[in-house]
Amino acid sequence: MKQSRLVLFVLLMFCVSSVFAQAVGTKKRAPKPDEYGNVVINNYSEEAGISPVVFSHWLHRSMYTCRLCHVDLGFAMEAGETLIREEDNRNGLYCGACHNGKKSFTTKVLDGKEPDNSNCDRCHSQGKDIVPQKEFYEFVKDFPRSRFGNRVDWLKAEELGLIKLNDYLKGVSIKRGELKYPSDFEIDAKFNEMPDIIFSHEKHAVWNGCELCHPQIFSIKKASTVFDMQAIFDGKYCGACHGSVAFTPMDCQLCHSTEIK
Amino acid sequence: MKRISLLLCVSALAVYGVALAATQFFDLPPLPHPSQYGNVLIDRQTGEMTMPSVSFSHSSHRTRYTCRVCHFELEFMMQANATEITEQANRKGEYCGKCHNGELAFGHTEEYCVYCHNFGMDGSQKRFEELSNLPWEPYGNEIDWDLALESGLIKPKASILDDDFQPMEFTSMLELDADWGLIPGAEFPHDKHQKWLDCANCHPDIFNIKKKSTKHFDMKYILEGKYCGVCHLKVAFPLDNCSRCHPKMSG
Repeated sequence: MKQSRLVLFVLLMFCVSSVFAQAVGTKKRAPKPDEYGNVVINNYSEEAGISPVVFSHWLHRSMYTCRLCHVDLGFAMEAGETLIREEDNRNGLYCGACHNGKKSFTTKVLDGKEPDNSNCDRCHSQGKDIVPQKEFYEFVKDFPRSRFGNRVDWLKAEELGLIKLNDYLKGVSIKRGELKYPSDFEIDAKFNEMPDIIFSHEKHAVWNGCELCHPQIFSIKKASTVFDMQAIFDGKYCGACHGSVAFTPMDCQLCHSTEIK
Repeated sequence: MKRISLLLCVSALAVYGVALAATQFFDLPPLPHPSQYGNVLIDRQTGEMTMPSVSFSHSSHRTRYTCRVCHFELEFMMQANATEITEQANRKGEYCGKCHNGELAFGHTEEYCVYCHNFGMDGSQKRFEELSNLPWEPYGNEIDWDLALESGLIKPKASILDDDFQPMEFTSMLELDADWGLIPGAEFPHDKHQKWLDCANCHPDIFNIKKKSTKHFDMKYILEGKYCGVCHLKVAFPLDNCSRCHPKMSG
């Protein structure tokens, strides 16, 4: 019995190593511009016999700041971590804070009328041929371009007023006085030949406020969070956003932007 | 008795594993004629469409543009047929259509179809003869492309999207230890690669950026078209040229 288990284990190791080897050392497929930042949420959907939800960051970030959802509404930063239930939404939490029939479409029973089930598919859309009301390429055609991701320079689009971000949701957000953001600062690149990084608090704060990054992702004491580029590529620190939603860290010079010494 | 048969079984598997690695190590893929090296047949839709498959010649394009332009700016994947190129996308100015628009290069009009859609029976042999003045090397296209670039014999553009593009200066030379005791180590010059490629062509998908943290990086996988083999099997100088990476090796 023991021996057959060992044989099985050896065979399994052979299989695992050959499968694993397939995934390394090659270039991954880059997502299409309209796919970048799309998140599939499937905690309970398939189990309940419904298509998983496909959430488009591009569509939502053209109207709201990141902070509004990821701080005020309490969405986690990783797909599937928030554990959103239909009931939560109907109680006005998470998606339901806007998708309530007033601000945006809903499936909730309103004023005793029959629920509008035709709206289910608009979010529970994976594997379905759903035509969105806003077509991505049409929507972004006059936006300033960037090299990766949605191929849209969202920062510039906001600065130019092409998109107007809402940072306040009535009944959820609480207005506070304005804070003065710390000025830009340099972060030393660990490797001599790489130009140093210029980090702009202001550019980040437009979208994120303070709370999205501090104190969980970055401590507030300068140079006390120790991180490196590999960790960022692995989705930590800057990589919490940059690589899946915000511009990707493959665009080196966007951050490593000081003059070469 | 059972134990002995088990031991035999395990050692047979191990011997098989080593033999497999060794044959793959020495079994370099056969090289085509120098004029055909780097030619790619794009036949993603052959069979569904009436158009013959496309033959693409790396050697005739790399004299004009660096790898970066197509594989970074125009988003061509690093494997044949992996990019979803369509005639419609080309006509919209994506992929091939960025240059093949009738202005920069011949366009997508009827008289030119056969220039690309030709089942690989293209004129690259003739185009290749035009490159006979470039420095020689023993394998691949039998052209030392690095030297051709350094000596200014070819002046490929490094960007078509940004006229002011300046590649980052990155000259670090890496010393790589070989896994096999008798094989001298390899060298990796960042600067020679940087002249053709963008950082993002290799990092972080193919190679981690942290030294010695890329797993399974050995010749066996390179020969399967991974790591260095993504380019150095079919397009950049082939692996037959051992000493170009392992300078202390003869041959």
